[in-house]
Amino acid sequence: MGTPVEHVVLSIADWPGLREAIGEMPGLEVLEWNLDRPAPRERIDIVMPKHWLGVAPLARLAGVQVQLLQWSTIGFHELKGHVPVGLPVANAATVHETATAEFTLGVVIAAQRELPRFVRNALEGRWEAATYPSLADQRVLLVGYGGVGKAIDARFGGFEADLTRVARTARDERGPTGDTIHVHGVDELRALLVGTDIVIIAAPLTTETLGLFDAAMLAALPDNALVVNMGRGPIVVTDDLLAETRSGRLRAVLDVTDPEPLPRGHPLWRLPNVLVTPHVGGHATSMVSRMASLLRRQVTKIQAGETPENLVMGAWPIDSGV
Amino acid sequence: MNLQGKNDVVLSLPNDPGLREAVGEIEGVEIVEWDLDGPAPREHIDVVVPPYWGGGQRIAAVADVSVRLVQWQSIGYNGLDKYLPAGVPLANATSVHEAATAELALGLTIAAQRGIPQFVRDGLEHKWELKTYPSVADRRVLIVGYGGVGKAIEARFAGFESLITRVASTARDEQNLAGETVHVHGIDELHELLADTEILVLGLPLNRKTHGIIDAAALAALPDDALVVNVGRGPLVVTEALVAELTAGRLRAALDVTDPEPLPEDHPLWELPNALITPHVGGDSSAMMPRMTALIRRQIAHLRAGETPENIVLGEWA
Repeated sequence: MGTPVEHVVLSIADWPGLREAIGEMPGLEVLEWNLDRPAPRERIDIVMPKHWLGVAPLARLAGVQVQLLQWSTIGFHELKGHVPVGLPVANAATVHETATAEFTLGVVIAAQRELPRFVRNALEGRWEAATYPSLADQRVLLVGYGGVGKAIDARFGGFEADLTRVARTARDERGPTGDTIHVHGVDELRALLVGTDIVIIAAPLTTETLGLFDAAMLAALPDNALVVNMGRGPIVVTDDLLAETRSGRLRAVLDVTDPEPLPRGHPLWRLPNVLVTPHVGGHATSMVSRMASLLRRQVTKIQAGETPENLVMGAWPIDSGV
Repeated sequence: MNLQGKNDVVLSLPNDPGLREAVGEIEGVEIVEWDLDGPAPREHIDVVVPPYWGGGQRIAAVADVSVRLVQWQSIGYNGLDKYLPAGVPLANATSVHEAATAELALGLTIAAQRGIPQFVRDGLEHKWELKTYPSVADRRVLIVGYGGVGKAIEARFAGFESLITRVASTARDEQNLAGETVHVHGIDELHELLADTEILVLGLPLNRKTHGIIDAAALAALPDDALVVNVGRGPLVVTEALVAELTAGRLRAALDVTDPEPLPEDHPLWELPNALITPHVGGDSSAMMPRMTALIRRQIAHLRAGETPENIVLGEWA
């Protein structure tokens, strides 16, 4: 438990619509701060920066009395070494699962049904139909069964696909419809890939997932399989995926890449069987209302002296000597 | 025993890629190839399957043979009555294309909402550029048409946190594929419903009543930035009216069917970045063949059992 705080100061980066979505709350003062200038106050209880400005601006937190850094993505590995030691950090679980999961279904269907080809054909005014693989009847392997994985699972319900789930440890748990479903352990990954038409990576980047999809794992997939990375770029060994997609044996959709952003001239851009999107999985209008809800809940917790949600780094409450 | 062994059913299949292999052998069924563009291979054919592509005029050829059932490979059968010999029963392909069409409807919807066409175009220039696009979640979606395709579309929207409203020719309550009782609005309420719609999904058949149903007035009823998705038939939408709204940048569209079709090379729709066009591939995917094969096998089983075949939409079953 922390100490109840009557007057909470929250700083938010300038996300379109976010200030309005948060609305007014008794005892809440909201400032706009992009961490692009010195802190507007000595004490800001909750700081919410914008993830797409990167981690360098976080240096501005030095010397500011902060109780909670509310990061704006679910993944947070990039923060290590960039936030003051011990500062409690909450990730943005509950904010991005919706957008990420719907985007995942979108790119999976797009890749199966060749929407990128049709977009390119449109540039030449070309109407050219052919038969492409459906999503229905495909064997889909979902790697990662946290919030995003579960949200993807929930959206697969109606698609007549055959979904198998893998996470760090094998377990049975409740699926989105309340039925008990089996989650395989990652030690079975290679064996499962052999029977997979579409593999979706929705795992966080950890020491265990770094480079998990290397040449040997990719080689286990059957010809024409689709690799979808919605997690973090370094989970897939780029050169190994490049070799498999360049030969035409595998297809890929990458919302995250390594390196990121994918530089101009990178060979992945040139492959018609690879769709690259600029890490926008969680980035849609749905995140504004969900971020606002999370911030309101965090404000309420801090006002009550309760532990905030989603703590992923540091210890709550922060040592008040900071 | 007759010389053909114990075969009691003759089935003709067109030379469509993969179909003959997918159907395989069916006990007691003699399978012959016929594209309906040459002489019939038999005087009597129990079930004739015309080619998937190539238009409806070919089915006039079944007048030369004695046929019990024409098994069409599409759900839509508009215009076939002009060519089908009087009294010949024709079954459409309900149960074959819903999965593929509905998943494409969702794919088009998500792609259009989330900017996937723009990312494809950016990719051609190696451009990594983050933009915020509208989600599918939280959107008010109107599904127009509540037959097999409309229901399959609804079932796929289930997990997406959207608000679904349904419209069909007549107002009614009925069960959706999840077994829930849902309200289906009548088409007379269409314009009123459009005013509150952010994503319009058309999955209805083409007939005299639906031809041009999405005209300038219907489109004008939609709020700014609404998305029009058509996986039904092109002439449901008045193309010029849609082009005007898209050119103005007021609406967006994702069209698997167009009018005219195929869309000519110089058609203005191709030029519009807010129009995503696919070449009528809704029902055409790897999901089609196993479902078409299963339907053909079920129809033969119905004939043998003396039952009425499924999906009869034209002609009379005697």
